[in-house]
Amino acid sequence: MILDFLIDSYVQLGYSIQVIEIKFTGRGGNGVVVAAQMLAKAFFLSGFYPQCFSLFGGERRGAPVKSFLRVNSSKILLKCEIKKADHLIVMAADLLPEEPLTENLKNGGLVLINADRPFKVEGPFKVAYVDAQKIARECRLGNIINTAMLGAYARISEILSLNYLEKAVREYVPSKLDENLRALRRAYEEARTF
Amino acid sequence: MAELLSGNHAIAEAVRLSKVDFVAAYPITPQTPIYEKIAEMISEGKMCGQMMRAESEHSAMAACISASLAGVRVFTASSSQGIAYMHEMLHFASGCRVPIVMACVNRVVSAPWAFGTDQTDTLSQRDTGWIQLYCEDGQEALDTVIMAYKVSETIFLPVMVIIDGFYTSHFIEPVEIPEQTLIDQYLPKRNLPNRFDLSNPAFLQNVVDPPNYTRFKKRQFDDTLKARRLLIEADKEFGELFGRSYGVVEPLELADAEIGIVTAGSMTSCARIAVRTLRSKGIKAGLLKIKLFRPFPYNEVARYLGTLEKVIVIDRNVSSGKGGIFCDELKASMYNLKNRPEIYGFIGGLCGEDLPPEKFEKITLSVLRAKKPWDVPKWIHRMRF
Amino acid sequence: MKKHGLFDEIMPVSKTPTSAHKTGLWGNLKPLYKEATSPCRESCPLNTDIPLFIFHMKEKDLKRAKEEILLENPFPGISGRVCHHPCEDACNRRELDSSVSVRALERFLGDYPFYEVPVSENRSPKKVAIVGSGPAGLSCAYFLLRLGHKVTIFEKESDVGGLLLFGIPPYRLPKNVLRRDLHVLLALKPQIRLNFELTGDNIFSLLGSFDYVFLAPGMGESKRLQVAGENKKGVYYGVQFLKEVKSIEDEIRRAIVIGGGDVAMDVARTIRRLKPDAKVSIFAPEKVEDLPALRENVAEALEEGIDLICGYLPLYFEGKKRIEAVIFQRTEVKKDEKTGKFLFIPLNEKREEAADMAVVCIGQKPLEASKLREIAEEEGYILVDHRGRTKIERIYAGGDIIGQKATVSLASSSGKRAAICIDMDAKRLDLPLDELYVGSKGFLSFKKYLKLEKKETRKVVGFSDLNTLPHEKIPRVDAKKEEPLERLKDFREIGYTYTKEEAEKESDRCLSCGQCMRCNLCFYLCPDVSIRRKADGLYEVDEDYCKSCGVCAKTCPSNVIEMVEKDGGAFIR
Repeated sequence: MILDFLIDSYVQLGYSIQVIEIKFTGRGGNGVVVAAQMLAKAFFLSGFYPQCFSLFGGERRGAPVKSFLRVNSSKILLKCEIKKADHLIVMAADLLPEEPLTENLKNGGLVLINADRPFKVEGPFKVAYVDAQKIARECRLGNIINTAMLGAYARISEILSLNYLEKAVREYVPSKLDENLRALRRAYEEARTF
Repeated sequence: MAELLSGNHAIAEAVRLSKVDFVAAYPITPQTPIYEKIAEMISEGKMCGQMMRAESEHSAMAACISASLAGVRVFTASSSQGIAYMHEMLHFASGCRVPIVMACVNRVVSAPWAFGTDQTDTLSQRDTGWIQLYCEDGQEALDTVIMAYKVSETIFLPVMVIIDGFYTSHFIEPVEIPEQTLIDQYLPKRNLPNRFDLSNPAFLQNVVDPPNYTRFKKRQFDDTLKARRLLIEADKEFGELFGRSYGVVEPLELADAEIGIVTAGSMTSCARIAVRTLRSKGIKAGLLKIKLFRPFPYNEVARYLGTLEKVIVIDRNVSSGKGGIFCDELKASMYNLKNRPEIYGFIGGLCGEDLPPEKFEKITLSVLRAKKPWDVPKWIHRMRF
Repeated sequence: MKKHGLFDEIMPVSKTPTSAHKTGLWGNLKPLYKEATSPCRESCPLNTDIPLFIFHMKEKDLKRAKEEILLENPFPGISGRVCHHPCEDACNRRELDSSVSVRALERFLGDYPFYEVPVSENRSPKKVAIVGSGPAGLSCAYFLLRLGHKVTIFEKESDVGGLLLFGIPPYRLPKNVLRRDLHVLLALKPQIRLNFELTGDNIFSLLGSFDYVFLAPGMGESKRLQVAGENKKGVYYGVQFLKEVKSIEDEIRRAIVIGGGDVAMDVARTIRRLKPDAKVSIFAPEKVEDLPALRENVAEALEEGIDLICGYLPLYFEGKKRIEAVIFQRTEVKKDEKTGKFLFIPLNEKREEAADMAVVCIGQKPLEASKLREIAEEEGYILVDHRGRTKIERIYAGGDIIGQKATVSLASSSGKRAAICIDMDAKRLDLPLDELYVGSKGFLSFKKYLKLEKKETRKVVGFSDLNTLPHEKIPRVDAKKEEPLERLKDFREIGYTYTKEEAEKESDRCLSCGQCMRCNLCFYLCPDVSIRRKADGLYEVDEDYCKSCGVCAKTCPSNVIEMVEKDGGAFIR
């Protein structure tokens, strides 16, 4: 559905515009950077042109981290930070006061939040949530919640088949492959929109 | 075959494809992933060269010079303070006429301490006698490393292949990896001279008198100028084999332009979008991407910019007390032309500051309104658009 | 000359050697290679050129190494086992880590099968009678034979060897080693008369049929304690015990050995082997650190379960016919500063020790003085001058009888001295002995006498003269040795000779003091490339290029380079 839209917009508006911009926020150690890379790989496998990068500051566990992903059907020339994204993936909900949705998400944009209960937000946004923390813990992954977040993202964004994500996970995850795949699939089942 | 690669890893792939024999380097952000990837490929047997971790960049360059004098294909990489630390060895390398290729990943030269990109680290090595090539993205970096060996081993001069830190080095994008067999055809192993020939002992770089010193310097100067032609040929041949070619400069929409933007490195991509947007609004804007900085492409600059009214140069670097370095070089190179444009210098994007297309558009609009150019550059971050 | 074409045009390459400029014309000094004496050699009574034979070992030329030893020492196999090794005490390497194990290296070479020695041509050989075939007599015979004289050895016993044969137990010096070392000497064909008893008269009849006589009869008798009960059954005397007692029939629970020298140790260790159940104790008058016995001998005795109690001398022996106890008195030993002799000062403390057997090992004395009254002093010692001459013309003497410290190497040294002096006398050579000394200890060098010496023998190289930077600390290589309980089963030799690998490793530790070891440091470090290697491995200096910097002399690890004036001065040339 969105894929069609993308291709249409490319044909209509030329190669410089209408990419999907996706933004990840979280804390160092959650797997924020690898999440964007895995998603980029999944898009790449399904035939898109992804561009993925991160903002590095003091790289350490627990510090706020952002990573970015642009997806297009052809080469992306835009090489700058994503201010307001089309899709925002919030891996640490406690960072929301510091990073308000209105500054990080376009109007009408989609936000996926890691939370243990339905999450109310102000503004013209589509909101979804998944308890990635619980899933990761139960799959014995501790605080590494990126595969769970991606499973949920695949479900609610409806752009990407879970197959490609599984392939990407297989390529990127250094250990505990089965646990990560289980978290991916379970989050796909448990993600909720409202 | 395309693969998702960061710019750093694209360079490492180019080193593998070029079948480099010897790599000596010292880690420094943001260059380190190049070094790590090469080490990984060697340890996994994907590449058969030798890797040496030197105790400093200075020693790394010294090792590269010696290895290259022994006749093997040599690579190194560095950034920022690392390049600065190499400085005197860089002079030695070009004076020894060794065909070394070095990847430079731009990063601010401290202080203040920071990580973002800033071309001052490589531009301040302008007079070391190295050929300098600024690349826009990972794909261009990969292709340019391979071309660099071809040029370098023909003219016996060292080459810096330069990318922006983080923007190019860490952006992960699809990169086309050429077939090894085609690379072997394009870049066969040369029979480089081994200057440490024990059966024919000699003293390399002995003390010379003023006439001889001048003779060698003049020879080096002339050969450096020749490198431009060689690069154009190498680029053309590369294009024929692989379908990608870049030129020593790249003009975009300049044929009928009234105003031109000059960029180097990764900011060119956003500038391309800005030119499109300006054109769609009816403004006759064009773009010149400068890839080759040394030897300076006088002919191309005169050809593409000589007829314009106004030229904007955006420098991601600064020479304190003077201005942007590309801007100054451009002004100087066009001084003797009969018709020359007004040149407007801007400094911006330092330490990786974002330069989105809108900024290029706004800068262009402001220059269109300007009555006469200025000597001291304007700083983009202080401008109100 | 091959040119690289383009490549010589783009960068300066010089193929003209630096010899274009004769920079040496600037300097007025030049290095002189002069090998000098090492402290180990200076302190060796036999003057063995230790760094030189070790150098040959480093070069893996064992034949030359052994030849080098045999030039000064007739019995490397024997001294490699029993020498009191003053060389190791003088070793410069002690300042770096620990001394080189010279004795073990000598033992290794002693066991290396090579026995040929050259004999000098002698147009008028003399006939020399040698009385006594201990180390002094055999050594004198060896050097005289090498000088081309005719030698007849007279021995009291039925076999040659003297003290070497019966005074040192086989577990320290096996009989086959003795025989093997003597083979070198016997190959030079001396005449041998066994069962010859020396008397005061037959010395003079010997003078009738021989040109020279060398007396080395050794000490015939053990010293007595001269205390009450000394003649009871169960009291023995050191050397006689070693010589005569092959087994002990009596039941022995406690044996006491009196004395602190090697004989005491040897006796105690022999009893330990003959009577494994008996408790054996040594009572020495000296303090532990002053014991005259070899360190190794004391250590091995202790390892074998022998008690050592220091600071006691017996007062008397108790018992009826057989001794039952020894009564000791605490004794302090002091050295008389004037005479250098040890004084025993009794203290007021007694100690009673039960014993079934006691062996007195407090030293030896000459045989009954009357036999040699014409030559000997009151106590039976024969006094000699610095050339080994007695007061009677044509009679020389050496060994323990001349009253020197009783060690094998000192005895051999006195034999060598007599041989050289007899030869000089026969040839009417009036050569001051100083010219044959190596170092300042007054030991004669046979090599120097044969004019084969190339080193500067007056200069002794100290540790501070060496550049030790090229040397790292390396632990001494210890030869393998059996467990103490294993050793007690029989009289087989203790400890193994170095393996080839061990010998190589240990010889690499030698700092080569005063001995050029061809390390090439001077060759490599000369900034003017003025030092060249010659075909024989040594170096020559091209004065046209040496500009007197002295780097070679400063850095030489062996201190064999000295800066001297160039001939004629620099500027005049």
